[in-house]
This record gives sequence, C-alpha cells and structure tokens, in this order.
Amino acid sequence: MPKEVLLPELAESVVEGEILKWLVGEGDVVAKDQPLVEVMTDKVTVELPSPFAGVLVKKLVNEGDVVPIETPIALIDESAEAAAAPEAAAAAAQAAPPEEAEDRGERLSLFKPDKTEAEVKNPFAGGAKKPAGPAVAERPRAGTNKYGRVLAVPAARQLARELGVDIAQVPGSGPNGRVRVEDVRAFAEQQAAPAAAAAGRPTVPYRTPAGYEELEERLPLRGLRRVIAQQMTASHLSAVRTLVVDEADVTELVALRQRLKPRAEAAGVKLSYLPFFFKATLQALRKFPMVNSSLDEAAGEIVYKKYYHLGLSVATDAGLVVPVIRDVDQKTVLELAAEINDKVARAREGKLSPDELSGSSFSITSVGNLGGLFTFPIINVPDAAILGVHTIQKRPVVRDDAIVAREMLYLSLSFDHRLVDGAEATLFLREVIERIEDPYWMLLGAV
Amino acid sequence: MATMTLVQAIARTLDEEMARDEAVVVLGEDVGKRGGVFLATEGLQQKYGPDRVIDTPLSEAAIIGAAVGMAAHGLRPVAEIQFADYVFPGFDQLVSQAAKLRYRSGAQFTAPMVVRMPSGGGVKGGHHHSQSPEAHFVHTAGLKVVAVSTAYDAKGLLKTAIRDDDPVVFLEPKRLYRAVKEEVPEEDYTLPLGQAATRRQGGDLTIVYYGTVAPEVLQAADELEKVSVHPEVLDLRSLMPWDKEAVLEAVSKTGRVMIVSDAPRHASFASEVAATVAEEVLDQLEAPPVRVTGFDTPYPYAQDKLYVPTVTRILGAAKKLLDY
Repeated sequence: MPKEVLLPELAESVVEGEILKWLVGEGDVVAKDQPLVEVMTDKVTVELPSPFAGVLVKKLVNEGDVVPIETPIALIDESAEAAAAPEAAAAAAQAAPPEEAEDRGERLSLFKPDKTEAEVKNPFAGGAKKPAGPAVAERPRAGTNKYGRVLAVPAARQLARELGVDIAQVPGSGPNGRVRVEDVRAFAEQQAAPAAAAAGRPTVPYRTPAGYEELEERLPLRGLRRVIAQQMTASHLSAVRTLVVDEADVTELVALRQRLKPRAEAAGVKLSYLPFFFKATLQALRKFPMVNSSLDEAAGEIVYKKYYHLGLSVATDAGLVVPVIRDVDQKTVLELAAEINDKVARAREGKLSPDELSGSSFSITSVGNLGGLFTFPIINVPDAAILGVHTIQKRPVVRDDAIVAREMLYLSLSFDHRLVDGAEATLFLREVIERIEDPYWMLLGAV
Repeated sequence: MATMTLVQAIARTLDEEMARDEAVVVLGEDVGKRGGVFLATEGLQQKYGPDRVIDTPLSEAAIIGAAVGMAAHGLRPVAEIQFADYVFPGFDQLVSQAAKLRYRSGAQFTAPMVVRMPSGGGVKGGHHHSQSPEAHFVHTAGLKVVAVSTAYDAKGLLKTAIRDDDPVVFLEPKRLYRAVKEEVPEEDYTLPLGQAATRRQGGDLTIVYYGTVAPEVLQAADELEKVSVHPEVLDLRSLMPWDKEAVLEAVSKTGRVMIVSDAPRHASFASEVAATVAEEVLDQLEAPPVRVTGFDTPYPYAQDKLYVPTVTRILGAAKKLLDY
C-alpha cells in the first residue's frame, strides 16, 4: 500500500509552500532522504528529502501549485517489489566491470566542478589573423624609448645581427614603432634588391664645413636629375665597367662628308659625322652579337638582340638624355642624319616622348664638340656597351716612315665585362675603326 | 583497454601497485573504511586489510611523518592528504624530513614515498579546498613534483612515483577527477618524470600548462585553430624535474609563449618557466613570455569561475603575444 508524503512544516511560522520543481518522475525508485521536490516558501527554497525508500507511484501536486503544510503531495510504494530494486542495482553493479559501475563519488563529494559553460569571448573574432605582419610601417625608422634606445623584440635584434642590418634603420611596424622580425627581413630584402639599390644602399653622410653654412644652397633632388642619379648608380653598381681606347685616321671620312654635305643640304638635311659612326657600329655589332646583348639577372639568361636600336647621349640644359634611334639597320645614312638631327633638337627642347628615350640595345656618346681627349662613358644599362667618339683634329702621325698630318679621332669603348671579354671588345672596336677609316668600303654594305 | 575517469585510474593504479608489491601501503584521513572523500582508495581496505590501508587521525604532520618513517624502514607508503590545502601542518615533515633524508644520511636512507593530494580550484571549494600549492614543493630541493591532467598520465606517472626511491608530491586536479573518461591500457606501464606531452602541434605560439587548466587550454587551442592560428601545446605533467628541453625547443620554433596554471602568479611555477625561457632563448623571442594564472589573493569563493584561467583569458593572452 503506497504511503502519502506530506508537505512538512518547512520553517517556523510557515504555513504554505509553492511546488517549484519535481526532482524525480513517477515510477522512479527513490532512496530514503533522496531529494524529491523543490519547494519555495516566503523565506527559503528547499529540497524536500524523501521520508522513506520505495517507488514514487504518483505525484499529487503540480509544479506551480501553492499548497498548505501537511498536504499530501506524493504517493510512495514501499512494497517488496520496489524494495528489491536497490539490491538488483547493487548486484548489477558488482557484475559490471568496475569502470562502468556507478561512480558514487560524484554524489558524495561536497565539492563539485561547476559544469556551467563559461562564455567565451574570442578577441580574434572578425577574422583577425596571426602576426599583423610588417605591412606598411608608419615610421621611416625604428621606434625608440625616451633614452633613444631602439624598441625591438629580441628575435628581431638577433636577425638584424645575423643579416648585418642596423636595427635603428629598420622601420618598425609594431606598437610604438617596435621592430619585429618581419620588419628586419623586409628591410634586408629591400636593401638587397637590385632595383632598389639606389634607394636602399648605404648613404654617404654629408656634413657642411663649419662656418660655410651661409655659402651653401640646397635644392631638392627632383625630376630628371633624380632619374639620372638613379640610373647612373644602377649602372655603376651593376655593370662591371671596363675600357678600351683606340684611334682612327678619318681623313677619308672628313673628305667624304665634305663632298656629300651640299647634296644632303639640298635634301634639307644637315650632315654630321654621327650617321657614319652609326653605320660603322651597326656593321661591327652584326659581327659581335655579344656587344648587342643584355643580362637578364632575374632569369639568369643572356638576351641576344636581333634588332639594332642605338641610343645617343645628348647634353641638354636640364641634363643628360639618351634618345633612341630604332632599327638602324633599316635606314640610309641620309635618313639616319635626319632622324638624329630631329631627336637631338627635340631632346634639347624637352619634347621627346618616353618611348623615344627607352629600348636601346647599344649607345653612342659624342663629346667631340666640348673638348677632352677621351672619356670613360657610363654604360646605359641594361646595354652591354657604349661607344664614345671624340674630337676630330689633325695630328702628326707616321705614314711610310714619314710624319704627316692626318685627321685623327679617339674612340673609347666602355663595356660590361660580365658579357663582353676584353679581346672581343678590342676586336669590335677595330671593326668600327676599319669602316670609318675606309668609308667607301663601309658604304658598299650599307642600307 | 578500459574507459575510466582520472580518479578511477588513480584507484586502479593503487590497487595494481599494492597487488604487485607488498611494501606499498596507503595511509590518510578516511582512506580506509570510506575509501577517501573522492573515493580514490575505495575498496582497498576490504581487499588489503587495515594494516596496509590505514585510517589516520586528523593530523597531516602525523600522516607525512609516519610515511617518512615507514619509507626509511623499507615500505613504500602512499599518503593521501585529503585536500592539498591541508598539507601545511605536515609541511615541516615534508620539507625538513622527507626532502632531506637522502642528503642528511649520506644516502644511507631514502624516503621512497608518495604524497598524493587533490589540488586546484573550480569546484566551489572556497579558501581551504581550492589552492594549488605546487610552488612550495618545487622550491624545496629533494622533492619531486608531478601534476597530471589525464587518466592515462595519472596511471603511468603514479606507478613511476611509487617505484621512485625519493619522495614525490603527486598533485591531482580534483576538478578533473570525473570530468572526462578516457581509454587507459590494462597493462602495467610507467611514464618517465620530467617528460612533457605535446597535445597540439603548431608554429605560431606555444602554450605550456599543467593540471587543472587542461580543458580551458585545449578549448582555447581549438578556438585559435578556427582563426588559423596554430598553437604548439605542451602539458608539462611533471614540474620537478620538468621538461625544459621540450619547452625551449617549442619556444624556439614559435618565438612566443604563454604559461597557463591556476596557481597564484607571484613566484609561481609559471614564473619559473617564463624566467628560464627569457634566460636561455631570449634571441628567439618575438614577444615577452606571458603568464596566465590565478590571482594573488586567497582563493575567492565568490569568484570561483574567474580565478581559474578562462578560455577568454587564454585567448586574450594569445592576442597579446601575436600583436606584440
């Protein structure tokens, strides 16, 4: 016969309680003192322990009900059948392997883990990624503390030592300009890159002599001057510049040009020596393709060019420019003369377009009208060489054991020894000279 | 293989070692008849009798002192301190006697004993049932200190501790006693002291931890993976000796390190790891070592959830390391 469970007097002067929550279900086996139900009074919330062991047959009140004390709230059956249940459970526990037996410890322990899930706030939410990376450093140099000591992580300092980088020069991308490992690596790569050689190479410090500050004027390095500076530095740092000088007896060429001048003039063209030098050079380049080549360092390849675009160095008021005469092998002496005149004139007016100033495969610089015995020209990289032609003047030379006056010319060939060997360069220059010394022979093969 | 909780692995291991070696005895408060408050010694007294599983008075000085005497005379006692917080009355016996015996006697005597103690917070235990006192022990030369976080490690390292000829303090994270079940091999196996376990492999930062904080660390590692940050995660398992080589190797690989534990920060074992890293591999560091620890207050009952490092705090430290 099931017994009634009455709502007890939960505390002094409490007359009723609200049934908050049933902790067992109908049909469940309950132990003596096992919590049955949560009850709230105006003073406290308590778990009501079962007054006896058995099976909970029926709940007599529902959650939310407010009931007076001494009210029956459940029926529990203490019969043999129900009482046998715990024994059966104990037997089952014994039969089962220990690890699967009920772990009483969970219930017994006073101190239990808090199993409620803590809220996780992930500061990386929103796709934030790992090391922010050097990206764009906001400062031109490393950040420092108030004593001027550089802010840098230890690994960045170590890497800087290994790479021979001055850590103070490295733009820091971290907080307060702190230098990180990526910054040092980026800085070292920038320094090493040939294209950035001019920008990243160690600079020569400039100091004004004391007392002469007023006698100096400073202008920003801008425009053509800056381009020239960069191009010259690139040439100086990249090419292995080597020089060969020779002389030519151009008495015949002087006579020929004198004879052809009126005819050119009749065609509206002022005839200089340059178109003849162009033709002689073209014919020599055909015999020595190495001199008309370039080095593609990134690809590790030598580029042989089957076209002949000759640059011509022109001094202008703004600075040096090098207009390019394209496809010299397809033009006559007269056509070359006209094009050279046109480009030199427009170079001095600053009216050449960018594509007229690029793409040379070889260059010629003529400094004859300014004086100087001969020069050591800077190669217009990535060309392999440049030919310097100088003043034509009568000099005493030995012909048939007699000293005679001849129209003489010095020629200097500046070449990149990485591509062209010395013997090759000397023989190339001889080929040019043979042609300008015997221009009639040269014209035999001219276009 | 059987699946079991950490505390079941402890109970199983004690049973196996007592069966293997008659010299192994267990003593402590309530370890016999009741089987220990966490049931880590349940059933042992029925099986091995009250002479080998001894219920002691409430005196930690007596428990540890008796263990030292037993150990010096050929037994291998495994003493249980009911909560690590209770060890202090027995601290003198541990520091002045157990730790010194080998040295004071010129190795005529050693103290092959284990002092097991449930350690750490996260169980709403308040000031006296939540502390992580490992710093006291690692600071005492002559003691070895183990701090496990898994059932598998508990078995392998408890066996090693019992068979060791010197005193071993064996810290058990009470919060993890029944947190997870895992496969533990049936056969007899041991794990060496001083060998860390790599829980995750990654190249972006290193997380070093031990004991109670394991679930938070591993959850944080999973959160990091979700945002493509790959942590190298090391569970030290043993604090004295500790796997310095593994930590320095991992830090050399990642350049960034945090140490996570629920002990107070000041002069903590986490501090020891951080100092060692700074001293030995400074050149490899891309950020200062970061400690994620408990706080320098008595363990607060009301802030139980905040005291043990949370996943959020670990992630915050990861962000600090990566953004430095």
